[in-house]
Amino acid sequence: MDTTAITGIGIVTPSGLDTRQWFAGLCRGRRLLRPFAGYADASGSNRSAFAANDVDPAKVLPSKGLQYFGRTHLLAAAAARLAMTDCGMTAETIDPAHMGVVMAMTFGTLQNIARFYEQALADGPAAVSPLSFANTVANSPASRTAIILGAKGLNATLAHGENAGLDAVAYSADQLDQGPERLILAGSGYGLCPDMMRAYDARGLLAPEAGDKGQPAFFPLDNRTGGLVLGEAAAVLALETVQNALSRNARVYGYAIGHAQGFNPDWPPNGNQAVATVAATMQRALDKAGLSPAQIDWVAAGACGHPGLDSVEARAITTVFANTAKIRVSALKSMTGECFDTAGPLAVAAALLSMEQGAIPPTAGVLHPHGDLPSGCLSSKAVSGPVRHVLVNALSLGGGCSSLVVSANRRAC
Amino acid sequence: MLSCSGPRIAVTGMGVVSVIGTGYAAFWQAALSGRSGFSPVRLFDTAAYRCHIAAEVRDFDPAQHLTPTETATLGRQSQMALAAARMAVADAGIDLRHQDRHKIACAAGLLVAEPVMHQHLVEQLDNRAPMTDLSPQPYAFPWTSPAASVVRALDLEGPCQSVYCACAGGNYALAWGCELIRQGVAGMALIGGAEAFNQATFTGFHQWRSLAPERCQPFCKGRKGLIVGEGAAFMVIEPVETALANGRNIHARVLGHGLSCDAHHLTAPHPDGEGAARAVRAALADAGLTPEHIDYVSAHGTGTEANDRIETRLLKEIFGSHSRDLVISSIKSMIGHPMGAASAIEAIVCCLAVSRDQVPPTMHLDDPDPACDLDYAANRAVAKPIRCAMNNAFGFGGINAVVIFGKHDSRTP
Repeated sequence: MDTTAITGIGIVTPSGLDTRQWFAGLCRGRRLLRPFAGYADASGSNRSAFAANDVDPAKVLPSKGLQYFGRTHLLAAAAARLAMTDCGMTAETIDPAHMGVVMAMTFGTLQNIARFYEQALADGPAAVSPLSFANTVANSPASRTAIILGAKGLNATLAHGENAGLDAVAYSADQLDQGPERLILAGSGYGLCPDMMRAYDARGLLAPEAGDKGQPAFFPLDNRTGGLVLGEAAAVLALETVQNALSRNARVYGYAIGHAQGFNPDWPPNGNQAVATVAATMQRALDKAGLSPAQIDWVAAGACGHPGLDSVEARAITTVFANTAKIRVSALKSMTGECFDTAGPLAVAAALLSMEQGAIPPTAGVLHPHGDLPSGCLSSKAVSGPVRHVLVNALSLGGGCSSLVVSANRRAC
Repeated sequence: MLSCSGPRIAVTGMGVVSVIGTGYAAFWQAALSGRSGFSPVRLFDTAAYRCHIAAEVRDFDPAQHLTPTETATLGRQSQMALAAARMAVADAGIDLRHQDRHKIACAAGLLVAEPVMHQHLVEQLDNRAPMTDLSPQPYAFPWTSPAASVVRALDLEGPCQSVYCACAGGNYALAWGCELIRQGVAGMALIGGAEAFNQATFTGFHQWRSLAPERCQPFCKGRKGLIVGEGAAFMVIEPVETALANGRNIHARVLGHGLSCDAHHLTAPHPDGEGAARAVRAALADAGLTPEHIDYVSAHGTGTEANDRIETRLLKEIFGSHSRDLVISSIKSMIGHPMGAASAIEAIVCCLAVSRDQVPPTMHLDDPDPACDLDYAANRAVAKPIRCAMNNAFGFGGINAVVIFGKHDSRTP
């Protein structure tokens, strides 16, 4: 990755399809938590989730064939369509062979897999609908998106963990540097899956529901956190080379200027080695961006509310920013929930809008900041001020971690 | 294009687990002899199906390649991947303890996730697995994925990707690895693909009526489809200069790649092969080659009516009169379609073709389709000089990835 221009944002979240309305909600610390009707735990209570029940992604898509789409497919395709519209390119202004789609899809098709198996168990394998298998395949959302948009360039799906979404952005940036594509729509979508929620509940990963004021004990980067709350969303970014963006006088939200990825297999993720890996990954991203930690205006943490993983990231942030007088950190998942691969691109969108509007989103509900964080880095309120460089993190419960530097400026070197 | 910048890429290690042999030497000997790997399905009862044949690897003993713990904890897909990766590293003569682990990338192409994850899901859906009996990581496939398993076992800390690009996954993974080396992000990459035979994939292709009842007969009149298989293949790639400096044997060079998407249909290829043709042309351009430089094509050759007809037509279109000089073969006529492992295994076929000037046959080509009238090495191996070999992979979802390999000597352009 050299420098990649981000010229379009498309999101689908519980707050709707409007990017700036979503960001305004983030800055107000808005948490659209609601009981998820799809899953009831052992006590019979519906678990909380950041569900986009009231949002219909299909309304921005051509209607033909949508009846065959799964929820994740709709979300991802809608976000991609919105990103393409936002960047100002149309099917008439770009050669379809120069338009690519890269999706991160670690968990997005699990809902379809579950339904496929349910049908097979109920009616026998020979009675399974041919259409149902197609949607189980991880690259089906990227392919369906390409079909809808007529995108005939590269089409890739990455699926190695929650950090895959951020890597999809970097992967796309690399392809733009070297390949024939002029535009790559990179991102992810995740539709809530009851079976996923049940599995996470069984593993003790979900935040207990009997929390403060009836809310789940879901407080990323807060000492009170008891686990995750899952969220539903899609986020796709329109990426171009700087040259291409300049040549068509595109509006540039910002630039991706440095990325790094690491992997540490220690499980559970609370060992010093995991901290070292995450810190090293963050530092490598900064090095590639040509920035020092002091130049970062805020860190969009990947913190998901898992006590062990949050601790790892908190310590890593403290390590990297040890010599920085003041660093702001926000745990965006406090307002989006854990939406897996989508979290990374969604955080990039927030970073870009923070630059546009000069506002750093808060960490909603934070009361007792994690003790391993730099003092005073978290805020329960949005912070105003110029934003030039943001470090975005994405961490996986499986050991993967990725960091991406998003900047208002092109990379200096 | 990128073939003119960055280091030249060498293949210095190869490992294969296949239905016709484990280890590339055994695999190659079997392939040249035309051994067929088709047999009745053993994994599950096929009484409810119309087809009962698969290409299951029956003689893979994980204990020969994995530790007892790895054998006990990894699913079959990861077991085969790790075995192939270890074989590749051993073949390259590399002691990983003396390498910079942050600079070794790893990626594996896949169609579907580790089947053991699916099995857990089925057991839950079928109420055969109470929540308290769930395995520790029921949805843990990111961290039990082949790539993650390889990284964990070999203690690597560089970039790691699971590339879910269906049948084209191995080629996509290889393209990514080459990009990282060219950019200097990685000094070496362990790249491959893996797939474990599973009932879901078999059911899906069965319901699409894409399965052959007895044999896979690419390019044959009346061909009836594919045989679902399994396997794994990994290769070590690194800069040619590094390989030479360390005295490593170079099997072949990776000369270039081309990626595209049909953007036409989720399960059917574009009727004109337009997307696949673009990928072929892009690969030639990336490698700085003309069609006349290609001597061998490892066809995607699935044995379906559509693919083989379309693939033949695009080869004629692009190669013109030289298409009559090409030798083309489909290894799937012997190993079936191992899905995410397919293009990885076929990449090794290409490396062996250019290094040994031999081409494996297309077996069971008893009655050639008049529409498929090129030289497919029908039923016998061919010995001829192979300067450059092209690996075609045209995957589910309309994803196309073509990689070109060249002989490592002065005759390579």
